[in-house]
Amino acid sequence: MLTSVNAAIRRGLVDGLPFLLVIVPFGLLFGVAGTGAGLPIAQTMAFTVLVIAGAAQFTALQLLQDNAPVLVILLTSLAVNLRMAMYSASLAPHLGKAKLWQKGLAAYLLVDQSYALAHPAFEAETEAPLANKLAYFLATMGTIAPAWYLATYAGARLGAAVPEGFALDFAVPITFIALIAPALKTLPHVAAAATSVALALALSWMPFSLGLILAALAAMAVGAQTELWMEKRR
Amino acid sequence: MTADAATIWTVIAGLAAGTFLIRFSFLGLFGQGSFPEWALRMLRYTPVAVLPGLVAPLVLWPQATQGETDPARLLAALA
Repeated sequence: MLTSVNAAIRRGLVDGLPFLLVIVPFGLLFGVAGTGAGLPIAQTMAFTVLVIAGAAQFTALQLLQDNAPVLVILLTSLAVNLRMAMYSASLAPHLGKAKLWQKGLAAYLLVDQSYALAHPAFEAETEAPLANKLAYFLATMGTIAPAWYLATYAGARLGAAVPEGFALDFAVPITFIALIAPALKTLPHVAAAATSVALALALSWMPFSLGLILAALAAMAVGAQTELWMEKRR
Repeated sequence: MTADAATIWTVIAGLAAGTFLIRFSFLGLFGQGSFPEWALRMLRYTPVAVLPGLVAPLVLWPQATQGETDPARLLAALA
């Protein structure tokens, strides 16, 4: 219940806890992968603290290893994060009247987990005061954000201790698969993923990883069209 | 990693700034505007549109000698 600021903080902290089961291994993996790719700890940590978006960080790390040009790396990784514009739009009616610095802080902490918790909570208690909603939102990240930083740091240190050639390169594909598998929950998602795979392979001859960008655009369109088609049939 | 430090820092800075702007967009910049229906539809599929295409070549054509086992692992992971 978002009945007071204190109650909202307590509930946010508690609601965030289960996500640590996902965040800690994910952070560890990014740390290990960063070190495995040859990044100094400062760069691995800068990714984790400044970007704070695991899937996009893994994407950038992989494309850096593929020697893709900076512009392509940025476009592709930012495309992975575009869903957050949707999160931002759907939280705006609830948090839009907060002070600018508060909205800046909330934007920094707007990740899949905080959105997944806050959006249903706000919709259930639309009339709750702004201060309580903001307190709840920030509190959900109270353990998740520090755990993300610390797990990455531990992974980066751990990665340095792993002997050379210990199949660390395989950690990255496995991580991506672990990220994708739960997302394949509907036919449009499967159609989009299949399009992405087929076109990325078919267009892999294109220079600068441009094939991936074209494959992603086509896959988004296929997902959207499949969804439309299913709605019409219903 | 063959990219030099300056390139990596550029990627970190660009990704950090771009990601923040995406998150801040409707909260702080555009007010309470909303997306047209078709844009929402496309945005729902951004992660599944990018990540599978990124991982497919890594699994099919790995740099090391693990070539044959990887598709099996992919199927296992998706099952």
